[in-house]
Amino acid sequence: MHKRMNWAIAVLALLSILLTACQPAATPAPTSPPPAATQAPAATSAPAATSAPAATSAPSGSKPQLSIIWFAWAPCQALTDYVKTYPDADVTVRCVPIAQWHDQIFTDFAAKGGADIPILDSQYIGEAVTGGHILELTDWMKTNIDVASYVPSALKAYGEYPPNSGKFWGIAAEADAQMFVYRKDIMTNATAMADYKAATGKDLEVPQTWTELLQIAQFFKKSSGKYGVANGYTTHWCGTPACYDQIATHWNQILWSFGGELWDPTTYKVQGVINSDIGVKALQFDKDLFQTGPDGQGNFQFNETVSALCDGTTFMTTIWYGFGAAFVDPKGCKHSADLAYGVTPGEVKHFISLGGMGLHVSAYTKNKDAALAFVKWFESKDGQLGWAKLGGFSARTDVLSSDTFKNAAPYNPSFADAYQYVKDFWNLPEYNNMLVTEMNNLNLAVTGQEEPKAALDAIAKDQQKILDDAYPSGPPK
Amino acid sequence: MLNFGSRRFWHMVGEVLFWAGLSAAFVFFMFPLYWMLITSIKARTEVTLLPPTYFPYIDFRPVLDNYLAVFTKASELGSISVSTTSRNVEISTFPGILLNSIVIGGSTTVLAVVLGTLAAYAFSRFRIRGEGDLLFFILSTRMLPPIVVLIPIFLMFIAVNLRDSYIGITLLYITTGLPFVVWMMKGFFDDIPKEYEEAAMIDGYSRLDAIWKIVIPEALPAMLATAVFVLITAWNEFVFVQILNPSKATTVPPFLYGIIGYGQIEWGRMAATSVVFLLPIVIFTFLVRNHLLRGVTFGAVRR
Amino acid sequence: MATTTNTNVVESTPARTSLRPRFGWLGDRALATLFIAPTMVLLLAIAIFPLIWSLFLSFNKFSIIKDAAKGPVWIGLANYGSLLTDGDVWARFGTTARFVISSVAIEFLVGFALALLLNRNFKGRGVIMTLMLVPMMLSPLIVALFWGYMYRPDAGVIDYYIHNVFGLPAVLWLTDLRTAMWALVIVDVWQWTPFIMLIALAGLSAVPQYLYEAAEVDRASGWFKFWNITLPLVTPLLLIAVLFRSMDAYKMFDQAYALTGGGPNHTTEVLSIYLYQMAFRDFNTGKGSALGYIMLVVIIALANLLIRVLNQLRADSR
Repeated sequence: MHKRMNWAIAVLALLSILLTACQPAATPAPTSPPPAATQAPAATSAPAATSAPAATSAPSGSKPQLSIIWFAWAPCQALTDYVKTYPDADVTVRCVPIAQWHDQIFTDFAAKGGADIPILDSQYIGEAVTGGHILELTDWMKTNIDVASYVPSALKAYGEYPPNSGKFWGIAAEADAQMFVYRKDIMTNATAMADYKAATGKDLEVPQTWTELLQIAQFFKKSSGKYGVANGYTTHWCGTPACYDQIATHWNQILWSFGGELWDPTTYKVQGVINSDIGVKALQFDKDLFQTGPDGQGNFQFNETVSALCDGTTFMTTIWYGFGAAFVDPKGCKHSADLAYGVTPGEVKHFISLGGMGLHVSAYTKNKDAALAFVKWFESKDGQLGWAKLGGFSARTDVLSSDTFKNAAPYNPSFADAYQYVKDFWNLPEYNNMLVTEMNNLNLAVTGQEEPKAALDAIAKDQQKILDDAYPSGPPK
Repeated sequence: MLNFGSRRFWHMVGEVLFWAGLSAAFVFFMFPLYWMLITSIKARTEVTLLPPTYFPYIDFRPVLDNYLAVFTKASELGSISVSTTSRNVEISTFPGILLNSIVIGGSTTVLAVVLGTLAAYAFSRFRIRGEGDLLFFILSTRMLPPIVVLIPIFLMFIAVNLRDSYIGITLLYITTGLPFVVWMMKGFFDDIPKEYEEAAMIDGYSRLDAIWKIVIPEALPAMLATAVFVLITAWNEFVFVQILNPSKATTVPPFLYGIIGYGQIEWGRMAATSVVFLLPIVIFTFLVRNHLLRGVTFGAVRR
Repeated sequence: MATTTNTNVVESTPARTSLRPRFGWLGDRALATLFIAPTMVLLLAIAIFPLIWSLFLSFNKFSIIKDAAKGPVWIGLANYGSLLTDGDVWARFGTTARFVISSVAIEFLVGFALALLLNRNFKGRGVIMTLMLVPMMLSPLIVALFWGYMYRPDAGVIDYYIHNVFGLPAVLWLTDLRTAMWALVIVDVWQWTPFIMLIALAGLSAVPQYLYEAAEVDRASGWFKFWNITLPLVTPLLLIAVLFRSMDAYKMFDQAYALTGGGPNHTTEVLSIYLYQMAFRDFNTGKGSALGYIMLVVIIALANLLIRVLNQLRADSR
C-alpha cells in the first residue's frame, strides 16, 4: 500500500513536470473574456445579417493572426463580433476592465509584446509616443486613409502628438461624445408639465443650457417621486484612480461651456486658469447638480449611471454615446422604451467632452503589414458603415450623415450634431498624475467633503507642480 | 427566580451571553458566504432587489442561470444587432481558465512538496554547513511583500521570455511554496527518531532505500496536509499572475477581477463564478482541519 | 525502541538477498547535496538573484517604459533620498500603520474572545469551528470583491439594514473619506480573526487543567483565574499570532486593490498599492525598487522580533 503511494507520487511528479513543460506556451485566450451583461437585439433596428459569425473558409494557417486590446464595454464586444467579418486575417479582441486598461497595455509595452493593434485612450498617446511604443502613421495615412472625409478635430484628438505638430500616430477606432438621456414619458407627462410651468414659469422641455437642466433636476428632486422619478440627475461621479477619467470628463465640458479652461496649452500654466472665478462657479454648479441625484452616487461609474435611468430612479443623465447599447436593450434595461436622447447642453459656450479612441500599431508587432491592412479596411467607408451597423461610431462625416448610421440606433441622429462641439483635454505623458488629482478633488467637492475653491486650488497646485517638474524650461517646441 | 444574588442567576446570564456571543460571531462570519451562495442562485432581477430575500424556495425561486452563464457565453454582451440565443451553447473562456488554475496549482503543489520534503529531510538528518542561516533565510522569504519581489521578477521574466507562460508562473509559485514546505517538513522529520532509518540501514538498506520505503510512507500525511496549503496559496494568488500572465496561461482570480467589466455588473454571475472557484478550497479546508493550526503558523505552533 | 514498527515494515518487503545495498554508492554526502540542490537553485534563481538585481536598480534612474533603450543610469542614493523626504511616502507609511494597527487590534480582541467562548465543549463545536476557519482560507481578492458588492449603497445588503431597518442615513462605505479605511479593516477582520482565534484556542487548550482546579480549591474568582493563570500561559502564542498577522497585514495588497483601489483620496492607499502604482502604473522601476527595499527593512525588523519570540517558545516547550 505504501509502496504504491510512493510510486504514485513519483508518477505525479513526473507528470506535472511534463505537463508544465509541454504546455503550449502560447494558447491565446480565445475571444475576449466575457465582460458583463446586457443582451442584444434592439427592438428598433432591422439589421441585415451582416455579422455572420461564421468560420472563415480559408485554412487559418495561411492567414496572419492579429490581436487587438481595448477596454471592456459594449463597443468592445461589438468589435469582437465585427472582426470576424474581416477576410484577410484572424483577429482576436481582448477587452480588459477599465481600471487595467492603461496598465495592461503599458506592461505589455514594457515586455516588448502585447497586442498588434492597441486601442489607446487619447490621453495615453503622449506616453506611448515618447516611449517609442507605437508607430508613426503620418505618411502612411496620406495614401491609405481618406483624410478629407474625417472631422478634423477627430483626426487630431485620436492620433496627433505633440499637439499641433502634424505628426499622427493613430486613427479613430471609435468616435464618442457625451449624450443627454432622459425619460420622455415623464418629460411629456401633462401633470409634470403643468406643475413645472406653475413652479418656474418655463415649459418643461429638453434643456438647452446646463442652468435649465439644473432647474429641471431640482424640480424633480423636490417632487419626491410624484411624477415617477425620485431624482433629477445623476452621472458617473466616481473619482477614484480605478475610475480613470469619469468625473473629469463629466465636469470638463461644464467648465468649458461656462467659459473656463483647464490650462493654457501655450504656456503650460494651470495655476490661475482652472481655479479662476469661472472655474469655481462651474464646480459650485456641479455640486448643486449632485444634490439632485440618488444616494450613494458619489461612487457611480458607467454601469450604475445606466442602471439609474434604466431602473427608473433618475430622470436625466449625461453619459457617453458608447453606452447607448445598454440603454436600448429591453432585457437589461427596464425603462428602455421610455428613454429618449438629445445633445448635451452648453451654457455661454457650447462644448461637449470628446470621447472615443484610436487604433494604433504597436512598435513590437510582428505583423506590421497585416495590421496596417486591417486599419485600412476598418477605416474605409464600407468598413465604417459595417461598424456603424453594429453600433459603432465613426469619425467620418460621410458615414455620420448616411442613413445607415442614422437608423442604426435611436441616439445616432443626435451624434452628428453633438460631434461638432467636442473638445478634449490634455494628452501629455504626465496626464496620469494630473488626472488623479483632478479626479480626487472634483469628487471631494461635489460630495461636499471639500469646498469648490479649495478643491480647485489643490488641483492647480498639484498639476502646476507636475508640469513644472516635467518641463522646467517651458513647453516643448 | 430573579434572585440577583443567587449563583444560578448569574450562571444563567452567563449562558445567555455565551450563546448570544457565539451566535453573533457565527452569523457575522458565515453570512457573507451564505449571501454569496444564494446570490448565485438568484435570477438577475432578484439579485438587486430590496428588501433582500434570504431563503430559497421560501422567499424566491432558485435558478441555475448564473451557473449556465459561468460556463457558457449565455449572458455575454452582444452588439445591437446580433442575437444572443446562439451563445447559450458556446462554451465561455472560464472552463479553460479554471483548467489553468488546476494545472498550475497542481504542478506547483506536487513539485514544491516533493522538492521541499527532500530538502527538509536533508536538513533534518544530515549536518549541513550554515544550517541555521539557511533556515533563517528560508523563513525570511515568507516575509517578503509580493510587490517588492514582483518588480525584478517582472524584468527577469521578460528577459528570458517566461512571461505569459505556464512554466514561468509555476516556477515562481514553487519558489514561493518551497520555504513553507521545507520548514513544515523539517519540523515533522525532527520529530521522527533517526533510529527508524538507521535500523533499516543496518538491515542492509541504503539510505535512499530506507527513505523510500520507511520515511516517506510515515511522512505522507504531513506531506498531504502541507500540499493542501501550498495548493490553496497558489490557487488564490493574484498579483503575480495579474502582472506576469494577464492573458495567456492566466488563472481565475484575475479573470474574476475582470468580470467587473463595464456595463451592468452581473453580481449573480460573479457570485456563481466565485462559488465554483471557492468550493475546492472549502472542501480542502475540511480535509485538513486537524492540521490547520500547524499550517497557518508555518509550523510554529502545534497542538 | 522502534523495533516493533520497524519489523512490520521490514516484513512487508522482500528480504535483501545481496550484501550490497541498492544505491549504496549514493552516500550520505551525495544525497544531501542532491536533496538540497533543487531547492537552493530555485530559491537562488527566483528569490535571491532578483532581489540583488532589485538592489542594483534601486541605485539607478530607470523606467522600463521610457528608458528601455537607454538602460539604467547610476544615481547613487538619490532614489532613497527623494523617497525618504517625500511627504507622500510617509503618509502611506502612516496609512499602512493605521490599517495594520486597527485590523490586528480588533482581530486580537475578537479572536481571543471567540477562543474563550469556544474553549468549552459543546455539541457541534467541531463543525462550527471548522466553518469559522473557512474565511481565512479563501482568496483575499474574491473576498474583497464580494464585500465590495455588499457595501454598495444602492444594491448592497449592508446599507439596506442600516438605512431601511435601523433608519440611519446610508453609509457610503467606499466613497466617504471617513469610512473607506474602516470598510477595508472590516473585510480584513472578517477574513483573519479566525487565524487569531485558532492560535489562541490552541494556547487555551494547552493550559493544564490542574492549575484551574488548584485555584478553585483556594476559592479563586473567575477573574483571578483568568488574569493569573490563563493570560500568562497564553501570552506567548498570542504574541506569535499578533506578530504573524502584523507582518501579513503590512504586506496586504489584494483586498485594497479590489475594494477601493487606494481611494478615495488615498485614504486606503497602503504601501503595497502605492508601490504597485509606482512600479506598474508609472513604471518608475528604479524608484520602486528603492521603496521596496525600504519596506523590506521595516519588515525584517518585525520579523526579527517574531523569530525571537518563536525561539523563546521553542525553548520553553523543550
